[in-house]
Amino acid sequence: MNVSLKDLLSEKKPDILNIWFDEIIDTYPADTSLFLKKQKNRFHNPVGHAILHGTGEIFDKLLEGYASGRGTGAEEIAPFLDNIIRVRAVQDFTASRAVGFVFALKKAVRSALESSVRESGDIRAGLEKFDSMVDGLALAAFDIYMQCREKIYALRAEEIEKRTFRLLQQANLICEVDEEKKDLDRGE
Amino acid sequence: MRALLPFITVIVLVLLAIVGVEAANLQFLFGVVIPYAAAAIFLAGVIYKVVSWGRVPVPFRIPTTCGQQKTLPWIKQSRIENPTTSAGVITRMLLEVFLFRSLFRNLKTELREGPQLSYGSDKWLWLAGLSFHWTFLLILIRHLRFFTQNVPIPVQMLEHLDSFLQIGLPLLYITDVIFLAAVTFLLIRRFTIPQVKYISLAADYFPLFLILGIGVSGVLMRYFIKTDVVGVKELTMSLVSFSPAIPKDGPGTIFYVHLFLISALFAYFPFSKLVHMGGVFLSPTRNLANNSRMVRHVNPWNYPVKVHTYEEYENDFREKMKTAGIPVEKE
Amino acid sequence: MAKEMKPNEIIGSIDYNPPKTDWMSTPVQIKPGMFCWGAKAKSINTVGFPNARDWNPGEEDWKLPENWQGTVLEGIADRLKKYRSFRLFMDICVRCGACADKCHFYIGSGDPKNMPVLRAELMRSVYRRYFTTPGKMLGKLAGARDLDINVLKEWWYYFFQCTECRRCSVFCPYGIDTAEITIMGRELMNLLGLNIEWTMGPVAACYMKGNHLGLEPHTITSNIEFMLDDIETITGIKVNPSFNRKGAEILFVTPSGDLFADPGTYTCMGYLMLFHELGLDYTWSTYASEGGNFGFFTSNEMAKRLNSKIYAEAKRLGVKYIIGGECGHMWRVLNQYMDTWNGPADFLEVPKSPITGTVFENTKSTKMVHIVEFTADLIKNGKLKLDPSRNDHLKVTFHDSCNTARGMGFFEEPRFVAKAVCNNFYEMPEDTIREKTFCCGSGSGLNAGEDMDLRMRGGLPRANAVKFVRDKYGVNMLANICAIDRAALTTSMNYWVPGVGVTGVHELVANALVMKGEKPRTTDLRGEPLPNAGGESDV
Repeated sequence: MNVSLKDLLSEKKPDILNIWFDEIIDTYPADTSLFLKKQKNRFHNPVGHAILHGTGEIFDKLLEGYASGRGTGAEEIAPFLDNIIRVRAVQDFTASRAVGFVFALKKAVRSALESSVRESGDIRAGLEKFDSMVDGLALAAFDIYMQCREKIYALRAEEIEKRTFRLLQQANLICEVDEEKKDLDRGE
Repeated sequence: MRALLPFITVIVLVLLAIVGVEAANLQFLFGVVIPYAAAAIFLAGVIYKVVSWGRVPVPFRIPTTCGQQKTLPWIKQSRIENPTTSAGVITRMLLEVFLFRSLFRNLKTELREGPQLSYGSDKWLWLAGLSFHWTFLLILIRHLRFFTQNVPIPVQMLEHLDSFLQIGLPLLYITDVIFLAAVTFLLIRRFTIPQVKYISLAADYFPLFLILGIGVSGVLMRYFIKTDVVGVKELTMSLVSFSPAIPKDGPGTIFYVHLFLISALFAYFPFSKLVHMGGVFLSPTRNLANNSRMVRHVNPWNYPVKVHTYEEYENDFREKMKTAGIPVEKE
Repeated sequence: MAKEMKPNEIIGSIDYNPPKTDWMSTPVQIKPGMFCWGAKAKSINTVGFPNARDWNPGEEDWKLPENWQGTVLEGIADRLKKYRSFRLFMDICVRCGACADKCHFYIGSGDPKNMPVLRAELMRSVYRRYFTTPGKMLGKLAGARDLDINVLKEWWYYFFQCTECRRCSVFCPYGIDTAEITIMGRELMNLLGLNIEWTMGPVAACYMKGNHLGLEPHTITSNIEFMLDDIETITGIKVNPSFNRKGAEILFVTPSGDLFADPGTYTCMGYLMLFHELGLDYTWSTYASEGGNFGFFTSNEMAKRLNSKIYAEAKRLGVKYIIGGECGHMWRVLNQYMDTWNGPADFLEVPKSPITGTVFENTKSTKMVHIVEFTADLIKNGKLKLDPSRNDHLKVTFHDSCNTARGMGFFEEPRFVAKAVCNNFYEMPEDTIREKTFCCGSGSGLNAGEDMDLRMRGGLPRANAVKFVRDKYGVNMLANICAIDRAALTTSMNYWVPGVGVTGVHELVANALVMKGEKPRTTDLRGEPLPNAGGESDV
């Protein structure tokens, strides 16, 4: 029974991706979203490119996971998810909105498969499984989001460290000439 | 709203001319007084504007360099994109003014994906901008036939070229078609490209509607609502010879609409963004040579500033400098 | 930040649509991660700027002086009379939108007010209201608006979200340069004491101590001594530079960032090794110990005050000419401003390389040579013994710094040098280099820590192109000729493109430079093992 949903998902893949992509893009200001959609040069539009490519790859992996029954396969998906979330983590989004785009996939699948979902109980059952995979994806997304934010704070700390490293070296030097020199000498 | 009001304003201008001529018989006002006034405002306004810009000094030499600088003799300089000579600067300006070089730069694309969708609007902006400005100029030159007793040969040649398609009677001018298409495109993109819509002001829509009005009334006059060309020329010639007179069997109302819209454009010109035409020649990022390491650029208002002198510095740190073995002026 | 979302709001659908108000009626929101701390009273007082007080941009009350509107409007009027660029760029924009998507901050953030045209309109709207007839008469209809506290805050927020990189001005049909408008905007901010500490701190330090980092003379020498120790460890050669030495032929000035923070220090070691190998008669100065100029990010006058030290010191020491180190905005200032401010340098001679005899005709007025020009000339004339294979562990690409690219046109020299000292060199895509180069995202004094979100957004377009060459060619080193790049891109790469390091060109030169009497090298300047380390000596 699962096979039929798989086929359906493969068949409707372009539609699903289009809807999903639009849903994500619509989280940006109106005048920006069209730029993100229309500008196809990946260097002029890194954000749009990351989303376009990321969603395609993520969907393929999910589909593979679904077909083989392996489930979400968060580790394999992580790099693609990372490409999108790394961008959103530094944009004007709350944590929930930064990763919430994952759930939009559910909506995208439903609107693309609308009629089939209504008609077939099997498809509905299959969808439940697919949905739980998307939930798994969302959890992975949240982990990545947290890593990105932690990275930002780590970078701030690192910069300070880099800037003060030579100063600390210097401080040691000063210590040597000061009264602590004796202590150091004794220690050696 | 930002588009609606300018649109209504242009409609009101059209109606004003129609009512003024048809109902109030104000031919002299619309045919003579207003055009003279508009021309005067235009001339005075543009001169004032350009002079007021020109009087502001250029304190620093700040060209935007878009190519390799002049450096070691074996490194090829980009003489136009990064000029160091007047010839280079002039060429750069000519490319800018006549071919919209900088806008054209947007064209370059590579590694694009997807189907032909990938051609961005930038290329169209350049093409439409260029077509618009060039056809506007050509049409203006063509209009010289109304302001000269004997139509100059170049103007005649232009007319021939312009109508070489030999469609319709009177012959269709290609510039008319391109002009209207370009203006329409420039207008439509203000409505449809969200970024451009977001930044557009009433002052961006108004000139477009006005120019569109001028174009449409002109086309109507030439191809559809025929007006008495002889009468038109009689009037225009009387205007340029400063002995204004409204011909008895004067041109039709449509002519007055056309003329009134032109007058409005002329009068509006110096106070609007349309003066960019004069401004482009004065733009310091384009009209200066990048030679400020070779020739000193003088800032007329350069003034002395408070600095922290070496002496003060040494006074602050003399002992530390001596300890570190750094030579000092005063022991 | 934004309001909290209920779970069902998220799961149902994400149809968040921003308020569709036009930009004039969308008040600014000062968001954390996007701005730098306000300048401290101490820093402002040091250089004698007005309204010195401690303040916090995140708070409601900015402690503005009385009649601040009047001060700003007077400031605008004054500058309209002084700068044709400002006057013209207020008048001639047609809002064609060609610049809209050229800004790295817009590309990375999607915030419409980061479109260069709109950033400038923030100022133009006020200009129209107070300085043009239609604006006075028609108000909002003519695109004019009153200068109120919200507008002021918006100015502050967005003029400190522009790195003055000038990329937009390349594409503008009238050459409108947002940097000019940002510079004016920041000058006006200064009149009210609204600068950021990240620039005012260094400005104050540079004014009193000669460099942005506030290194005192003995700290400079001991810093360099550390480097000398490292050089000796790596090459076995004892380098002996001099400081404030009268009668030297050349004064060398470089950004102080190179003295202090990695990886700039490796570039600095590169200069030291090169000059030693050449036996150049040169001196460092502790007074003019800053090539960069954060004054340029506050006001032209402040920039001039800081810049004055270079010529003053050259004159005091009696050198013949000056060599400048690798730095971006430093070279825009040296190329386009220094001679005008503090020239003519008629007490100096036209620079002539003592090694090759080349006369640098292109610097005959400023008498200041870029070290990469100097080195390119050496390499071209075969004066350096180079072993590029020592850089074989690196796959290098080159990032054009905004200021040397669009304020100078410095494209071929660094590439020539980099290719001469590295065997693996790959260009990034064409639309992202040379005059179309993308900013590091942290230029013009915005490389603080507290605005890290802003910096990462702005850094995305550049990082994205680096990522492309990393994935395609395995590029692992991003070379550049800018001290801010060396600091900022290190962080940006760390976030966006892990695995790519950042280096100055002269670090690469020094790695490849075969020095007279050196011991077989086993590591590069960073202490990383060389590709053929342990093998036969290259010397």
